[in-house]
Amino acid sequence: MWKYVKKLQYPVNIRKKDLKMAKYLYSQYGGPDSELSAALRYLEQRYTMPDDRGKALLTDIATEELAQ
Amino acid sequence: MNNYQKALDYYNYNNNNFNQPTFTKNENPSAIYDPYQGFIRGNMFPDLYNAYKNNQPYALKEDAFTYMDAFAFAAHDINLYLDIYPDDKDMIKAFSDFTLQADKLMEEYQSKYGPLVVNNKTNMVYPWAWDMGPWPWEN
Repeated sequence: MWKYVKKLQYPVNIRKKDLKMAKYLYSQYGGPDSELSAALRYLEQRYTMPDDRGKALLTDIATEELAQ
Repeated sequence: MNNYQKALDYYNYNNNNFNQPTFTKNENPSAIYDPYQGFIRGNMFPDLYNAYKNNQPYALKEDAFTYMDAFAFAAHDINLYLDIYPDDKDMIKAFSDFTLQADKLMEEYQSKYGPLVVNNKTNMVYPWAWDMGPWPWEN
């Protein structure tokens, strides 16, 4: 269902390495209230939506969360 | 002017109306940013854009790579808009224009620098190009 593109959606320029900050970001990406769990929740809800627009919208939102 | 007022002005707090809906269901936002301006703001809709505190949009180098990203972003943002307002024909037109332009720029980029998607014709070569670097976050 997914294809990936070998480029970033927005250019990043990492100027400084900060391990403490990286730790915070790690839980933002993979922790309990993270982008990842949000993506999975949207995807799960997507299958119980009653109409086509709801399905499409939640699939797009889940993809957006995965991208983040 | 007291310090409180000064701080409000400095951080542009009065413009941070996050809790005020600036957009209603019946509104038809025909005005959109051009792809570059929308890209550096992360938002194609002037009605919905709120600057965070006193941050200014970061000016990116206006080269072909930035424009490729900008058109892809523009099409994507309007895609999300159309999910909610599917009857807006002007936006469907804008979506088509941006998508075609983004595809064209991506095709040009790939013919110069190698594949970005696996099913591109620049990938149909020996040696197999897909597993070669650099990745986007590597220099």
